[in-house]
Amino acid sequence: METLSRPQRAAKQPPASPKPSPAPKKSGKLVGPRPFKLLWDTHSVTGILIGLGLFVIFYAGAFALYRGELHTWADPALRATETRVTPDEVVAPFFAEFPPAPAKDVTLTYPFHERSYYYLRYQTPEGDTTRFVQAVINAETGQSFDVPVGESLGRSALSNMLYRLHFFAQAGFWGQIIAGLIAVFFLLAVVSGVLIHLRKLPKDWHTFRPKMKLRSALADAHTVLGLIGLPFAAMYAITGAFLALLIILLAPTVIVVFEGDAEAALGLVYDMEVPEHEPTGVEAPMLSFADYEAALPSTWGDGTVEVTTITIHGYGDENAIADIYGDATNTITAAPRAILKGSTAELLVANDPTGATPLGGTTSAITNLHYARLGTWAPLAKILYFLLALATAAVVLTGNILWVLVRRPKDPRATPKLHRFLARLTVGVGCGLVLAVPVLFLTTQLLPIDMEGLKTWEHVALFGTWGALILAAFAGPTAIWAARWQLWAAGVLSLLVPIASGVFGDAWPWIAASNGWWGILTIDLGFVLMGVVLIWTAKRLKPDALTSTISGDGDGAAVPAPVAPRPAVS
Amino acid sequence: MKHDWTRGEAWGKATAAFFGGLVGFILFGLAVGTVLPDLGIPIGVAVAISVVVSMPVWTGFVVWAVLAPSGRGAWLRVGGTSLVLAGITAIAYFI
Repeated sequence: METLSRPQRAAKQPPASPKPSPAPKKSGKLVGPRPFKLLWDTHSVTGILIGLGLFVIFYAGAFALYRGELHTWADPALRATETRVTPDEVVAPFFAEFPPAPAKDVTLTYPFHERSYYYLRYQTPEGDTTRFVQAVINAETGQSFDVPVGESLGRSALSNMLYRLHFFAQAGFWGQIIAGLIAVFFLLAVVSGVLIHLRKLPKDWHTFRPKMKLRSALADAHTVLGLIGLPFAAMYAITGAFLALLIILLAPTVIVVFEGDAEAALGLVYDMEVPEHEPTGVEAPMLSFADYEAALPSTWGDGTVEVTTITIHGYGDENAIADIYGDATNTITAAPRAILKGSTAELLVANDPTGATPLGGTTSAITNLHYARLGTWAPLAKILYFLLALATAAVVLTGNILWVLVRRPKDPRATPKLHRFLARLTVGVGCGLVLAVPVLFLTTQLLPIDMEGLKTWEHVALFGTWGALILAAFAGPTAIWAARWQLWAAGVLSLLVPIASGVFGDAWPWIAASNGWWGILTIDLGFVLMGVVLIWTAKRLKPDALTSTISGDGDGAAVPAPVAPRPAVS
Repeated sequence: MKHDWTRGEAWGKATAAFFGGLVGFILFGLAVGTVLPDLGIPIGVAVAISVVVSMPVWTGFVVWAVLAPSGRGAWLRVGGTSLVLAGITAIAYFI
């Protein structure tokens, strides 16, 4: 765009006409020039500050959507197509070998949604103290696997690593807070991005010219993918910030409005008050899980509400309660919960399992929207979420690269060190993670699932590879050179993942389809799609595109290529 | 940068947007949580509104601060609104 000084603009003004001038033509701008500039800067600075963190959140989040399926993808012994083992059959051998410690909690999570296995957790006496017993149990075969305390669920850490990376849980509590703050500023980037593109929204919506110069193609990709994913991005910004910052959100309200009574606030979520269940020290026999299920209100048994978790607080005590959580299949706002007396299965309190309190409905809807738990639409919704998450990750990376490109001086040797650093860091973190993830998946398939130290090797595969690739991005001759080979490698390895899944995991696509392992099939086909797109992108970074765009001195172009004007829309 | 930022404007607006916005976001949640029940709206509805709306409100504070004429103007906007929200919360809480 031509930039003129004030005197130049004045000189270009048409001479004053003696006739009254017609009404000034409206510029069509919905945001004035000054707010436009301020919002543009806000959008770009916010994007740069949170960009790489946001990329990791979305890229890992795309896989975290398939958290349950990834367990079964990694460990064939957890695959099940139907639930044949009852909860009582699940716990019986464990309780026989390791009796539950008196008056402690016993939790059994049922197979539901994408999970095809039970998860059992309780404490057993050991000398003068107790120790935890944890296990996952295949819902079809009953085969069980111990989960050592402090380790992720299952024999492979793959699923949990990506899930925890999604909100930086590896960095502990503050990692989650940082993820929440990134989500808040992502909302700011979305709002400011919409405001600055408002005038051209209809045109920008479908202007994508991949054969133009790389900078134009990147700018198009950034805008088009950003617009397509706009509702999704806004939803994720709000729900992600809500889930990550819930403690900060609710703490002031609990302190002031509820005078510090967190139980009262929680009661608003589930529309109930938890009965007193302090252990009395008087022993009482517990009933079976089947007894508890049979004692639930009739609304739980008509197929619209499934039991998801039963926790028996104070197992074996006269005052024990069975705290039962459910999932309503026909609504995303319900938070079904019922509490029974542990020794008699008498119903103590229950909420409306298909209804919702305002706060409970809000929290449930936000959680279910975030995790794509949308009843019968969930499988399709997850595929859509997966694609949009990858698209949003691409929007973030292209935004970072564009930030560097548009600030490149005419003489690339004058490119500021900070910009060079940012270009290489973007390539290392972005392309590095895209390559490290298939390395992790291949490691999981190539190493025996029962190998000692598998989880350690999986951590090395992801974080070790990623770290090495970040260093490689700084060590190579150019940032774009590093981006190119890393994308090539990521594409090829992504295409190998489904093959490894077939050879070592016995889950070729046709086998997965015939067994109804839709989650596994989706993951493998997703890698095929990613492999093709990554190789296409790597090929797109061809030398002539580099010469005119982002190569030259190593990180910048010899001659900055202007963004091609977008075609007019009739 | 498209706007001609001075150091004072940049720091003033950035701090007002982040810290002032954070305080405003908390006070907005408290104001909604205390005032709406006094108007006969159930406490559960009030808290639900506060937790959902607070986040976009924080974003609104940030945008409003950035669009202020100066860094000082940003603090006046965000700080002034926060004071009003604190006053409303205090009145609803104590009276």
